Amino acid sequence: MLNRRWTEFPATRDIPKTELLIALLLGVVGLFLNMFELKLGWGMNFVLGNVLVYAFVRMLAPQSLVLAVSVSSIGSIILWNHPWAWIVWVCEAIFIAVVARRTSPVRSVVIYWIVAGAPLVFLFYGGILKMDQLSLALVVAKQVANGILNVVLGELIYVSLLSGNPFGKFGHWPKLRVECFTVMLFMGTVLIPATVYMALDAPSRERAAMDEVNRNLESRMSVADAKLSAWVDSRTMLLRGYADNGALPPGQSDVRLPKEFSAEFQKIAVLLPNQSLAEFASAEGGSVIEATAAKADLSPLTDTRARLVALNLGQGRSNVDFALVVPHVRNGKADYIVAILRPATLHDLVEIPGQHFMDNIFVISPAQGTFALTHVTTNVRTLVGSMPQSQQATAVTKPVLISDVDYRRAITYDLRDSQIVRAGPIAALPEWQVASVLPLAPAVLKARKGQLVQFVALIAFVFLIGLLASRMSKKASKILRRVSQSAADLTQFEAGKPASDQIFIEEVSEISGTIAIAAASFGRERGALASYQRRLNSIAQHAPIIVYAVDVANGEGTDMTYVSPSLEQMLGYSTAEGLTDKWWSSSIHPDDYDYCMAAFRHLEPGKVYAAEYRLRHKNGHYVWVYDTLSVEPTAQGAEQEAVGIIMDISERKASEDQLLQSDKMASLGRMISGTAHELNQPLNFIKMAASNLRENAVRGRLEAEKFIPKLENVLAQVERASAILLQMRIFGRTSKEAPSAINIQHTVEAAILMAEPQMELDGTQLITEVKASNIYVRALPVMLEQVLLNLFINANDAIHSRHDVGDSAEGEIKITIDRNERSAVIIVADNGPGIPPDVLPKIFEPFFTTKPPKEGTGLGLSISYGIIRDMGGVLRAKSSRKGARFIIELPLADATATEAA
Amino acid sequence: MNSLLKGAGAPPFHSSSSILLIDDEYEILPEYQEFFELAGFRTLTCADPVQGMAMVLETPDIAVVITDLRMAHLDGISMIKGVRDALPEGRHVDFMILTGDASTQLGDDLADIPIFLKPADTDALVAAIRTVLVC
Repeated sequence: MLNRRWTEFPATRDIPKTELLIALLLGVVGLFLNMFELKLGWGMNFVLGNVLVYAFVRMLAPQSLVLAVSVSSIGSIILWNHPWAWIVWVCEAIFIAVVARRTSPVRSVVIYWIVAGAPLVFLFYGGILKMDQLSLALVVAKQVANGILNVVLGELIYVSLLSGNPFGKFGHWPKLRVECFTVMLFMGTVLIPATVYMALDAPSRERAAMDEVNRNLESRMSVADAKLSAWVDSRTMLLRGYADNGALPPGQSDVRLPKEFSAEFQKIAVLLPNQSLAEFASAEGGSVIEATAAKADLSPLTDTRARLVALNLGQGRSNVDFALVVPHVRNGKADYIVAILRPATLHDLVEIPGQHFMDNIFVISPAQGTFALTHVTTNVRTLVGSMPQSQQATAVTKPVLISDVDYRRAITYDLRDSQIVRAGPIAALPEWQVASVLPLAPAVLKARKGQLVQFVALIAFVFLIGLLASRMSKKASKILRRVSQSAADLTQFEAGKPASDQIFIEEVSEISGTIAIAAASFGRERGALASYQRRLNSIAQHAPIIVYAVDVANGEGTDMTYVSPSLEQMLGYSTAEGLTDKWWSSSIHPDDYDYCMAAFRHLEPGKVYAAEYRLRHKNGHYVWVYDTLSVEPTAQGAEQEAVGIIMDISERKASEDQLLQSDKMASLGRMISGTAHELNQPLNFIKMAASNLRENAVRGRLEAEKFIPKLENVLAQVERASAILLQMRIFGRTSKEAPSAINIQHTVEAAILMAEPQMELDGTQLITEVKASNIYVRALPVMLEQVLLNLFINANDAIHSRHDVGDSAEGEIKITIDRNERSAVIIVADNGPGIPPDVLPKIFEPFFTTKPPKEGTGLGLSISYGIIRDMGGVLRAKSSRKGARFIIELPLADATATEAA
Repeated sequence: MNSLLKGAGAPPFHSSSSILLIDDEYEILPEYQEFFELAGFRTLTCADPVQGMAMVLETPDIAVVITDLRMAHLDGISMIKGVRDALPEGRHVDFMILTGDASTQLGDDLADIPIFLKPADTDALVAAIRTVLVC
């Protein structure tokens, strides 16, 4: 079974300090990134710093993740001056850290915003910050979209990193489940283009709303400008006419004004020569607002334009009185007409009848100040009044946004209180500008409603797609899991195969097909393997061999790790008994133990080891076995295993004994004439002596002193005959004795004694050279004698073959006894013709012979080779023109070592 | 096995001719000598084939030479050939071989020489000597 479901995410565990450090670093980088906002218009901004943290949701432990997010979100406290957004972000991190383990990060963030995130924002922004409903709904939607986008982008970054794998060597990078991947793709597909669109669309929408307000303002300004200019021009003319008529002498104020003036002016006066405006104002009990205007360098001769001057005439009044100052020339003398306006005069002028909201029209003079012409709220008055000079200058060319609430930059929900100011010149009054102010609220409201619709649609779409993606990914995941399981257990594939119409992904369908094919062929192969295994088992069970395995450590085999059931058949033990400690070593025949241990020592890979020895049957008797073991070649240092087989070779051993016997008989045949000759000598003596005794007895000449020595001679000859027979003892003995340490010199001498008569008969000399004495080997003397005898006979035959072709040089067989470091060495060298090179490799093969029929069985050298090998030694042949040399090397027995020491 | 006397079936053989027996196993020579003398032959023995060869040539009485084959200094066949080559014209010596080697085979030039195997068939040997001496 594949049970890797949640290993994707790190488990809760002791977190290494380095991870906490990395989390902290991620948090700090995220905090920095949070400073860059994605503007969606009307103060709606996305912050994307948490993206970086969520990219590593799979690699961070829950605690580290929460730590990183809590650091990166600190920006929201700094920016908005309240902790509520921060709390919502941190809760999101906690939720994802815990729940992402059960589902995908994207799905878990969606669930979070449904279950906790949105209600929390409602609670904090609505309940605590008292936000209006529209803004609240918008903020909720925006936070939801922002939160989900963060995780989706994080996943996207992680996938890019994973596929690009730039840091592959550092840390564990878990792969994504198909569910996570699918949900991430779907969400990304919906959210990213929507966000990009809103970000691109928002500024133009904002501009459009501003433009609309601006147009409105401009039109109102031009109306105000036109009305003011027309009024100033007409009143200038009227006032000049009034002054020309002499109705108004200089230095006097006329309060009883004619009808056409009294509606608009409260007082009209002509300044005295050299009287300044300020002096006039103080004479009237007030003051001019602006010093420059007060001591204005009035020069009616050069400047004929009327001007508007702000005066403060009413004591303690905060209101401003405006005066229209008109230059006037009468009788060649320049003077000024000052007409003080009634308070409502300008207001009535610029007011647009029938308009319900306040017009908020100001006149602004850089020198004299800002004055509202219409009724304005204190807020607006303050806002416009406190506009800096630079802003006033800007307002002439484009609308300027002024806000009455300062939440630092938290204009997310205060833009509805913002006002837009637009200013313009007044043609008739060059010192003055007219400024019009409109609240942004209606435009903002309109835009906000549009935005809300967008966000709600987006969120709805996100949830819908999320649901769809979740369903599809679950299904895809299920199918993939099944395909994967099928691949893992090919034999079950047919049973668990998903119907092809259920698989809606082409590649998966292909994989499924491929697995089906693989499963079919796997099934066939498994069947074949099973029957092959059955056959092998049957062979292992019924064949007269034991198959076994041993572990090899440091060149030494351990106890058996496997032994085939045929053990019981061959040796009577159950496999369980065979696998018990020391079973094998304790079952070896004591006489074969050392040899056996030596044979299976220093095991090396790729080599084959073999030995013939006796193992104890459970019934107590011993069975001759052939044991061959090969060590599997493996990499150096790896655990090695050796596999071996044990064969019952009792029958072969019996026939081998027979072969040895027949070889002995063959040797006997070869030596019979020599032996017979040797025996005939004493027999001849005895016969002659007996014959003579009888003849003397017949003739009655039995003198004791004569026949007693004769009889003693006869007895001596009988002794001699039996000594000859005693030398031939190997022909009467079998090889049932146990091997023991023997002095090879004695054995060589015994063999020479046996062979000598024949050699003498054939004119061959046997010479012994002892280069090292007291050399012991572990062997049966009879066996070694048989080998030596075989070699002597062969050498003698070789010499003979040379004689046959006319070379009559003296035949000589030289036997050398020697040793080297580890072995006893016996060399049998003849001065025969040597062995032809083409024959040399074959001489140890059974039944190979160069001799005519009846002279040799062809077994001699083969058997000799086998005997020496069984003793743990080597029999080699060398040849030269001087003759052949046979070299026997046998492992030294301990006796040699001790004696040598 | 019969007694020499009985087996001969004839009066004791008396002749001026001698027989020479050569065998390098000197212990047996007295027995040979006693045996052949009991059979009625004048008998000489010698353990050394070289010396025996000289004796044959020096002693005209020797009419029969009985020799072993495998001897230390000179083998029987070489000795026979040597004697035959060295014999003066008109002198005839008969040779007989008494050997323990059953595998003995002689060349064509020596085909007339009878071979007796050890242990000797005494009757046949005596009969053969008699036949030769009578001729």
